[in-house]
Amino acid sequence: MEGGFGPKIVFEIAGIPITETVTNTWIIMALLILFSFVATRKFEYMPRGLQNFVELLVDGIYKLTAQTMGKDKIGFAPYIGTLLIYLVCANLAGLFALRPPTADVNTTMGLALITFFMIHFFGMKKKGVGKYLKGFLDPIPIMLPMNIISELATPISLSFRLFGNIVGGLIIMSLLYGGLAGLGAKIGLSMPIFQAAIPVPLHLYFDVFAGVLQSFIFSMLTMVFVSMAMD
Amino acid sequence: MSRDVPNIFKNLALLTHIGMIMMIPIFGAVYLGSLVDEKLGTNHIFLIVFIILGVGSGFLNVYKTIMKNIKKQK
Repeated sequence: MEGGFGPKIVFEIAGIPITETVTNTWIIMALLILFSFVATRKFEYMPRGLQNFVELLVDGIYKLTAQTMGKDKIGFAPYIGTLLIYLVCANLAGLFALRPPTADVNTTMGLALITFFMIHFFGMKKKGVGKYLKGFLDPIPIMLPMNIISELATPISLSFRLFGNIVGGLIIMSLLYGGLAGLGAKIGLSMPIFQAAIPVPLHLYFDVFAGVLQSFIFSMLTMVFVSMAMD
Repeated sequence: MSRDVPNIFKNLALLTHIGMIMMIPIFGAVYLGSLVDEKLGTNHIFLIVFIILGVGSGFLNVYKTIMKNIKKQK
């Protein structure tokens, strides 16, 4: 494939290249802002239509957070909900012919760093800075370098898993579309018949199944690590 | 949502995580060790030291994650 599988540069702002990742993130952000504005404009005591769906979603996220992190950490639900909804939309972007923003390691590393800082910030806040930092010397002080390396592995693991899954699916789908187009041209078909039907099951697996599952795993691990640091 | 569904996902997420947190420190250590050896011109000394650190921290990672979860589930 020409130019590789990396995100294309769409335009530049003051010499800073703006890639597809950034523009697609803007599109997803705009759609989510629009959705939240439309969904929360007219609330009624007896929910109807869209309000039912939104209440179900919010209630589900609050229940999930309470069950995973504990009722005392319910305050994290808005962040976890935002993360989950953004990741689901980003991973499903491939279905709408957009390059998923999570197919760029910068996006996933950014999200994983938020989790990393949350783990340490809330850990310190709950236990106190001294007691928290003393935990790095457990069980014996000589283990300090190993403890530091093991903490650094968390954001790398979080970001590489999500990035690897999404970019793997993207590359396989690009190769498949390229191969099917070549096959069609070889047979002499003027219409893209092969591309219309054959990739559907693979889209279902790589975009829908893997995308939603990975979003869930990322949010779940964020909840588990933050609550583990605080307990 | 059933009470067990978040638990299933939580364990599935940890299952995928444990493999990676064991592997990442070892790969990181090999990379860093060979980089330091190359820069300082030493003969694999740092590579060996870093591999020992990486393997140790990989083990520590898995041990800590599993023990914390066992304690939490009790």
